[in-house]
Amino acid sequence: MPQSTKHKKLMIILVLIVVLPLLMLGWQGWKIDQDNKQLNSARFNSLVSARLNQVDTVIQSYFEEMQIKWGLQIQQWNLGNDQIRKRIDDNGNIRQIFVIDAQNKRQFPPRNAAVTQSEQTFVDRLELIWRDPQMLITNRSNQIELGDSTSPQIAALTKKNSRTISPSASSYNTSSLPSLSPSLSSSSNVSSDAIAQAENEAGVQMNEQAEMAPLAKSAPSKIVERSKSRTAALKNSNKANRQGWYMWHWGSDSNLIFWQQKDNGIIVGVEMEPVRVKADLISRLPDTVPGDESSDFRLRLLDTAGQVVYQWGNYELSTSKDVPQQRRPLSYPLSSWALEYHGEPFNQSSLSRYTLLLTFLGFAFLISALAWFLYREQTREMRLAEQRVQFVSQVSHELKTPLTNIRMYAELLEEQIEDEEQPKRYVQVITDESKRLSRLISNVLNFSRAPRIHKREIYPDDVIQQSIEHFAPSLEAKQISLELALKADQEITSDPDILEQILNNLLSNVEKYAASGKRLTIKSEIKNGQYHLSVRDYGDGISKSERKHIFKPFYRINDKITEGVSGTGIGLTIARQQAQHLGGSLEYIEVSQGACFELRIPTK
Amino acid sequence: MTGNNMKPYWKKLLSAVGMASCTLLGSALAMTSAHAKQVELRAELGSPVIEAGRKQTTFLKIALTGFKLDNESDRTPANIAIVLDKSGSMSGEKLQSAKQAARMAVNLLNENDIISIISYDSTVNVLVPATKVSDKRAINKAIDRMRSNGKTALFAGVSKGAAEIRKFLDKDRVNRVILLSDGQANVGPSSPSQLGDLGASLSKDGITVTTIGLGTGYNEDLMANLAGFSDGNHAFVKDAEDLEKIFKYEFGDVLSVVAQDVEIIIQCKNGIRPIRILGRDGTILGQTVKTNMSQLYSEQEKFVLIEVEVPAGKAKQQVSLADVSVAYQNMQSKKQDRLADNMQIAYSASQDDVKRALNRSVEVTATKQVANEASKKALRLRDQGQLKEAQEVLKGSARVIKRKAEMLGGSEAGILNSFSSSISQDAEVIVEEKEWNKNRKSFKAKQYKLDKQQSY
Repeated sequence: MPQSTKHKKLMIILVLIVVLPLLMLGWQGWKIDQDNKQLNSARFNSLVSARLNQVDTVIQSYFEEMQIKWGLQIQQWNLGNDQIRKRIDDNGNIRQIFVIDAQNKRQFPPRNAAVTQSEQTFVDRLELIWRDPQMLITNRSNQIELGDSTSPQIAALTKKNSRTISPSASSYNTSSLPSLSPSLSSSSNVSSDAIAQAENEAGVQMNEQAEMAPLAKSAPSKIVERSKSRTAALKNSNKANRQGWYMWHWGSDSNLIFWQQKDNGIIVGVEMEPVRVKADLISRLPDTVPGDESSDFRLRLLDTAGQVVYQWGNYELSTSKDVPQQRRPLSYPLSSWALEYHGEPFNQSSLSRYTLLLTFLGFAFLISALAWFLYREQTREMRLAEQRVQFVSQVSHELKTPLTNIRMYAELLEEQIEDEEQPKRYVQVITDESKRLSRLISNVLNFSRAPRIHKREIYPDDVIQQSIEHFAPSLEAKQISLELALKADQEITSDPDILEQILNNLLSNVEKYAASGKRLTIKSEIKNGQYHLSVRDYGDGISKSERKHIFKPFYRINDKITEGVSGTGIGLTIARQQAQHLGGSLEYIEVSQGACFELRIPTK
Repeated sequence: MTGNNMKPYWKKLLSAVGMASCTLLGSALAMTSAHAKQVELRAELGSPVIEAGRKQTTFLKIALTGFKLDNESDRTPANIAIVLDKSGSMSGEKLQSAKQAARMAVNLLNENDIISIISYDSTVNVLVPATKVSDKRAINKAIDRMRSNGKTALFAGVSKGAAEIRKFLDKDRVNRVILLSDGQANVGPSSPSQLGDLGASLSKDGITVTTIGLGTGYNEDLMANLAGFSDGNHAFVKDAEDLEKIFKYEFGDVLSVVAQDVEIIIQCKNGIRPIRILGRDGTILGQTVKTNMSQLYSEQEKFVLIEVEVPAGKAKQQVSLADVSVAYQNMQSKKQDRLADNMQIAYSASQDDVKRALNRSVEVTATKQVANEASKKALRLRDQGQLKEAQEVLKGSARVIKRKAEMLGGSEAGILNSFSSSISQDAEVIVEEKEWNKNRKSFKAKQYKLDKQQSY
């Protein structure tokens, strides 16, 4: 095999040795990285939502505290007009207060006495509640949009009531309150009342209902979480009074009313100062310390209109359209508000990726080093082998000249001693043996380097005949009968020396290993533009498992046939190489007994 | 004083009206702790004698003057939150001046005072949480750390400031948020009405907000509203270098508070109907007028001016006009004090009598306040793009003041004439497009100053 291809092969193998594991490793690493990323991003998300929940809890606790505070305070309130006004004046959380008696009549702001200007606007603002105060208690949605005209509001209310009240209506029936007015005992009653009112209000209700529909649709999803805190409030109320929050939107503000119904049926409502609610929430939420690395996020509290109420954290939003990583609505009662989390888009911590890359590089370096080492060892071995082969062929070449002389003089000598039997035989032996030796040498030489091919017009069968003649004495000596069937009487273009060498090798094998078969068949013919030559013996044959190895160089079948027989183990290898040099092939043909080799070479 | 202007003749006829001037006596009677100093209450009428047989209006001025602090150690401890804008627009000289002013302010305080320093841009940072002013160096260091950046979360800044104040909220301290801003609030609630509501809400808890607008980029309506509804001060500082001066004035006020949480109730009688309160915020409920003042400063007069409608009466008739009662927290005695007074009005057939009885100083005050209302109206018209109409309102107002000056004569004429010419000047300025942004801010600050009798 030529040196360069060997080299190339070695290179390819080594490159594969390096690249394949690295590819595997890389792929695995990438997969692990990806998995990690997913895992971490899930972890990250749950962290974020935990953080948002925490904020929500802070906000909720504000309302819970308020609820407890107002709940206890209102019970002790003196409901005289002056006292109420004093409360409004003295408490920054209160914008206005209203009192509604058991007959659903407004007590404060007074109906029949003078009111201040702010009280008058309050009365106008809460028009809807004076009309149906029980709405506070029955309305579950708390999301009534109060606009300029009252009719669409009622329409909206109606729609929402009919949709959303039902889930918690039963819990109200269980609340054992004697003051429950009949119209309140079931939710359907209430909504039908509201519908009746709405119809009185406006004939165009249908249109407006359609307009309000999107609003109503958003309500049911929120109702689920609301009902939880609701029932908690209810449990409370069973003991003392009924109370709760009522929320609606007026202008840009989210207005909250805390209401309480006393045992005697009087409802006291406290309208919270909307900006104060915001200010109080802000005071409870953390501030932002520049450079604080633990707050590399930006949390935003958004009101119903989506306006930022407050934000904190050191993460700078690139644009106002920055998409939040997470967003959740607040819990009751500010459920139309939302919390947003902004931050760096999640990346697996750079450290771990860095480590992975380093590992990869380290591994790549190791494998490359190993490959390089192997390559160096291998090439050194190859160089050594090459040197050896070169040495052998040089030696063989050196042997050729004296051998030629020996042969020539032996032949001369043979011609001179004509009659003396004994010496003639000796000379004959010398000639034969030196011929054998020169065949051996040319074999070795052919093995170590590609032969020069001199193609010419030949009759292949003549070459075969000539070769057989050389072997005839030894075949005879071993009592091997020769059967010839040479039918290729046609000229072909080939190298007779090489052809002869091939046959020599095959015949020498037969002589050495298949003498026991006592029979040798040589057939030749020209078929499909190819010269076919088959050599068959009737010896022990070659076992199936050995067959694929016989053409390998230096391979010798290791059994009793080869025992005690000397050989180089390159005969078949050379024969096949030679055949290939001639553009043909040498194959083992399976036969019932013995071994058969078939040579095919092109005729041109 | 009303009494000073009175002739013996009138003393005979209207000795009762003189009662109005004897507020010190009246309040001394109501006083419980004789030794502690008291705020001075003066309830005066613009025209104590009015023409008989005709329904007419007059002005009622209830003035409160803080007593003198004998020595500095007597001063009321302060609980102050300085809320500083450090948004991007503050960068450079403005922020340096703000830091300088804040440092100076810290130096004016002592370890009885509490301070907190809050900075805000897009977010809020509590630089110094409410703490006693004992380690001034640490506080100054925190001030120096401020770097400008970002937007303007004004609402959140004030909210955090108020939260810091609330940690040590005490009716015997001056609880005040001092807000500095140079830009439009653009994060969080940012309408003037919302900030006004916040001011009102904080005021109910006893926290006042002083707003200082720096440069020409801020929203003067918002800043004035926030200060106004909490009865704090409001100032327009055009150049950053004046900031220190303004802080000095502000702290001069803060450190001279002698009374706090002042509630004034005017109960009108005998068919007398309150029409409006000039300048200040208050409620009118039937015949009762209620208004509040956050603080009274040493030797400074603050007043509330009310226009009332007096029904027709007969000559020589004298009726009780109103009872005035004032309750306040005395910062020296740390007790709540009450003052009371009664006002009377007399009818006369003689124009001369009416003119002679005129309380010239109240008339001047009333004229100025009415003119201030006109200025506000002019500003509203200007905002609506009605430049000519706005100018007309101011010109008319200047003419009215001039007439009043002619009528009153004497030293008051001089005061009113110069006031009239300043209004005339305003009339020229209000139609100018150039520098309107700046001028509007000084208009607003001027109106505010008159409304609240601000010292600077």
